[in-house]
Amino acid sequence: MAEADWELSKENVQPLKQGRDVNTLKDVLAQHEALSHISIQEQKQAFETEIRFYSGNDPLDVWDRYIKWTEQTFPHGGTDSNHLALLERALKLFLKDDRYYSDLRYLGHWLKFVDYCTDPLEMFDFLNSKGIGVSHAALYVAWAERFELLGNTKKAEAILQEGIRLNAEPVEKLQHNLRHFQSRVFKQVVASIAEGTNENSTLEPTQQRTSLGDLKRRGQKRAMAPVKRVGSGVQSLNQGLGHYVAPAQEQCGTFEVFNENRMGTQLVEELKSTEKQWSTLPSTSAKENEIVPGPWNTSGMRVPRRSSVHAIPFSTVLSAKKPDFKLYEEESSHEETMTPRKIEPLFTPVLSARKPSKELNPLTRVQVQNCNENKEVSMYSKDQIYAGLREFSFEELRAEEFKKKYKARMKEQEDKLLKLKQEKEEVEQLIHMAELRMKEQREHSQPETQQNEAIHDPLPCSAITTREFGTDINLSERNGEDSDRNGLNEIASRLKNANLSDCTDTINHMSSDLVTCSQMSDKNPFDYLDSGSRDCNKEDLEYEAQFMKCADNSHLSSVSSLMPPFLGLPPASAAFNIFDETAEAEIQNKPPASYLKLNTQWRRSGILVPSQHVLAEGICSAACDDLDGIEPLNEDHFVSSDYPNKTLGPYPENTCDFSRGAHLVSTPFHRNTLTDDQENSIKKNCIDGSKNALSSLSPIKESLFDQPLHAKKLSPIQEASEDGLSSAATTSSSAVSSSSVGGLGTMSDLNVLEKLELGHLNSCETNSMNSTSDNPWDLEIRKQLLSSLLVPLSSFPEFHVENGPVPTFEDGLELTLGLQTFNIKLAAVHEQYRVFYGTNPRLSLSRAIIKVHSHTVPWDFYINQQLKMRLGSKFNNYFSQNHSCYLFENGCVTVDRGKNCETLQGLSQMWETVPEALVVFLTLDLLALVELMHTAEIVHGGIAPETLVMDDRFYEGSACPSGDGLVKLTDFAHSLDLKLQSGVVTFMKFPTMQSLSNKELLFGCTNAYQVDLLGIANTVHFLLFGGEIDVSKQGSLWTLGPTSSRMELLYLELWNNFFEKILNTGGASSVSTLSDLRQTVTEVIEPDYEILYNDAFTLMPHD
Amino acid sequence: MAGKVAAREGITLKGSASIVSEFFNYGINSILYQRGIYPPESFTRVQKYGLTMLVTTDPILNNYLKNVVGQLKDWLCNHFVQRLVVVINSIETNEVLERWQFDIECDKTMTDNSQPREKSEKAIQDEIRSVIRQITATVTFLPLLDTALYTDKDLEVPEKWEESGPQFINNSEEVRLRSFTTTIHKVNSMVAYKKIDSF
Repeated sequence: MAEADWELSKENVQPLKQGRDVNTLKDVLAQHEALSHISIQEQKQAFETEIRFYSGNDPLDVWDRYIKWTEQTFPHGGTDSNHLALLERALKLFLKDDRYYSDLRYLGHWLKFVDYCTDPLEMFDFLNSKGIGVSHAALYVAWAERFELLGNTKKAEAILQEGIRLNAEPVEKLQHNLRHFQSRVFKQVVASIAEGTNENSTLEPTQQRTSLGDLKRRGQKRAMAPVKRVGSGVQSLNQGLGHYVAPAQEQCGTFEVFNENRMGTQLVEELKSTEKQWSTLPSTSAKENEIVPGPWNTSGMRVPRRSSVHAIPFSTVLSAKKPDFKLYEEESSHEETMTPRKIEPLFTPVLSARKPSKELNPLTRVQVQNCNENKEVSMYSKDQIYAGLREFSFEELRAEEFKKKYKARMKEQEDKLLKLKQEKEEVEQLIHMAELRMKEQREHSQPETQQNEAIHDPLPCSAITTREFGTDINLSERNGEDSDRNGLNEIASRLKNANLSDCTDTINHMSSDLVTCSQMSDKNPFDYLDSGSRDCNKEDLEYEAQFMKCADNSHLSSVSSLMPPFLGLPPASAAFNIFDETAEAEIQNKPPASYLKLNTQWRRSGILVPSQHVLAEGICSAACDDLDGIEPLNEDHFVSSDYPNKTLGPYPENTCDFSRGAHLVSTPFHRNTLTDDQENSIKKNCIDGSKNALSSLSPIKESLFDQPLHAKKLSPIQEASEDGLSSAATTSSSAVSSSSVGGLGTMSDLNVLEKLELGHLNSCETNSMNSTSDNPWDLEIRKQLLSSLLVPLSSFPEFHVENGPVPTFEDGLELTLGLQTFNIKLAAVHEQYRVFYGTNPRLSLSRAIIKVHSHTVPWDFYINQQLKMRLGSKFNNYFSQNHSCYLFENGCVTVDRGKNCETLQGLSQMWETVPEALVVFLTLDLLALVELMHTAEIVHGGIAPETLVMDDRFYEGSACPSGDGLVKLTDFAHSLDLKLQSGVVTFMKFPTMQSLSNKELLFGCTNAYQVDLLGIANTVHFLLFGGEIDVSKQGSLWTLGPTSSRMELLYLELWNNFFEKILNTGGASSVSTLSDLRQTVTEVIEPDYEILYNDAFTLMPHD
Repeated sequence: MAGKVAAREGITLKGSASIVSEFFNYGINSILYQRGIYPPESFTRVQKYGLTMLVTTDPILNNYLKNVVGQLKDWLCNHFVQRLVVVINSIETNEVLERWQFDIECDKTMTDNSQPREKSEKAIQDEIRSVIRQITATVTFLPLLDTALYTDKDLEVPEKWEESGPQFINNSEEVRLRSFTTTIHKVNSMVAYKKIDSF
């Protein structure tokens, strides 16, 4: 009986040209249940959303699917389907886009639309003149059918002929149609002749009375209407609004003798004459002067109450509403025709016509009066509200935007999970290291350690920490927990050992650990994984929460409902420490009460500012945003804004606050900004707090972590929640909170420390956050990356922290860095750093490359350390093992010590042309070096003759070149650690890229590793041919330009091969490409390796 | 009297065959009319199964159908037929657009001499009526056919009713219709139609 539905409602289902899907039909016809109705609404909503947020290059597709879906789901047609409105909307929308004019889908929708029109022929004229679908047979077939329906067979045929003439696709269909059409017409004619209806029974047209036609007057003195009112009695047929029934010949069976010659030209001309005539869509219904519903007060004029007659000048009304159609104006109409009329009386009688001002718009007074409408910038994406068929509220748009981002985040989280697994392995390694170190240190300082442990009793702490780590890294790997626990225990005590000098500090440290743990442990793992998206969530949620507060008084009184779960998301509670008493009580490992108290107090550190005059400030920046075409209400605004949020309605009973909140709800949102001094005070507090906390720690940490803290915004939830709480509870809370602004004191120390801890634990989050940024070399990002390292850089012995500013580096000065003294010589100046050569005056041989950075981000050092860690024993072959870093207050200095510091560039200048044999070995070396780097997931980004330094072995000439590198890479300023910054997409800014003359090469790049390959190519090219690489594209391959030629090359084929491979890597992984290349080169030089070797290293120019 | 009544109510193999073949006659006519394959003016109204059925007046078509149905009746008596398929082809592309399939299940134990089965004619007619109604109602989902269509070319060879190929449709949707049974022959109907994606 399942078929019963479609069987019973055949009269109510509109037949579709393409048929219907039976299952959908069944579903829809059975849709009296509310369930399927809801699902239909959901699907509709999904389409509406897709229309607004479609980002592909075929926007018609969404509309197409939407329309088809509507046809299938609303078999009855009818108003709820909105089929006509949908069609019209889509067609009008893509009328602007002439790439769809020849699209069959577009034409198909037009043809459906035509069925709705009262005058389909007009619509076909329009299509023809616009050139929509003129290349498709379907247009002509449909058009001819229309004519045939109306009985105009002549035109119908002409249309088909025209289609064939224009070679519309498929012509066969047209020809077929034409044939059948002709046979039908023939049959009709034959039938009509046989029936003998072929009589000329029509009246002459003039024999009909004409409505509204003027009649000739009779009589000389008095005008009298004539008796005969047809024919000669009518004054003129051409004047006035004469409407007479056209003597349509098709109505009565007459047919004209077909004249091929005439028709061919005449109708084509007719068709052409309609071209370019249409500027807008012809109206679909017979109704005229329909008023399209739109926003009120479009005229933007405030009607003065007391203005006399014409409140709104006619011209403004005209300009406000111009008709869609062109008004036909007769030439003579411009002449003022003076009709005799009565002169208006001086006073208006009581029963006079209504004043036009009142007629114009009775709602004017009700309408919102806003004079500077044009200046107003809407803070929501206004253009998208009406983009689809349904109206979307801006909150809905925001929600969609948010959902999209949320999904993206979720995806990232999945990736991150994988990363976390790797991370965990690393952590385990570290734990082993820590254990070893512990053993050593315990032997040395056993009494002290014992004392420490006696003070703190680290057991609960470590237990909680472990738990946290267990959830952190991988839920499924619970069994790894035990080892974690041990390891973390070790780490905790190691931290203590590191700071044995200051016991109280350690206490602080530990306590902050406790606080963190207590909060971390009670949230579910999903929360934690979600924490990446938290950054954008939290502002959102909080903003919503405030909305709730303002709008709903009852909410204000109920304190616990501060964070309602919006959008079905988990309350993003975790990282910003929302105090939850009930949850706290359930925790087994409850930290000491005193710590908890601290915890609740510091949250008052936010500032509550009455929102009086702040609204105006955000507008300026918002305007800029809007002009740039950025969607103004995206989360970035909140994320990037440094301003802490504030409670909008701190006093629930205060009607002023309430009304202000209501105002905010009902008007476009303006970002509230704090005044400068308020903002500063917050920052200052924050900094003060961190300084207090860190001052007792080693100064490295301060300088390292100070900056990130500045950059890190105050988590607004803290203030919002706590202030909301307190203000709801007591009216005196504002005083409390304002006093707490000044006296952050020790509470904030804890806060800061806690953040540092979080920074460590959440390193992965911050990383993934940053990697999306445009400029991977951004200092802020690097700062954050470094600050979130598991092992702080300061723990390395080569890392030195100096008090005071960077000493002056000038050419020829003698300088002491750490224990060493250098004579420095300026080598190069770059944007962010200067490079010096340093010679040790005491040890004449030892020279060094000194890089002086103007910032405090020891990135070079970090990369060097990472390489050392990731490569292990191989590291020494190609990189400088004597790398140290000096961090000053306003800069940092990295020192690469070696016996000499000749760059490849300098070396090459010793010859006219570098010996090929040497180039071969250098190339081999370079390939091996970069391969190593890439296996460590680090991209150098700036491989060039300037950044390659000859190794000491090169000069000694004793080392076997196959094992150790001849060259070393320095200058990691443009390096990327792809473990941390995986999402780099712009390659343009790599120095290698910028030095390339042909930037097109760049478009082939799919990942950052390829940048280094190009760097190698460039370097080798420089060595071989002594100039910049010049590439050109031949077919699909990049080849060297004609300038790159050198006469005496032994291995011409090898080099050609080499460049071809390295320039055209395609999608192959760089490591495999590099090893392939190395293999190739080795194989080629294998036979005469000895000779080459001698050639390369006996021709040393320096001696 | 009583014997007469019993004979009327019972159904023999021959009677069943004629009922089924009659159904096919009207069914095919119905399809041809509903799907607009022959011009509607060439049909005339006939009361059958309590419905107003449209039957073609086209002499060639009538002749053909008579032949087919007659042959079918013979085969039904001999349990030869398993399936009857009406295929609608596009004359332009010779592509199969619609395929009406009637599967016939025969009770092979039934012979001319065996005892008639108990089923009232009215009940069978009711079943047939609902099938015919369904054929009419398929307009709700079947695609519109252009006028340039004809039934299977088999039409042209009325004497020899050969088994044509299975004539399956690519990218089709199948809809099972109701079935009816005379207790001896059971007819399952099904229609398959081509899904059209273009506009």
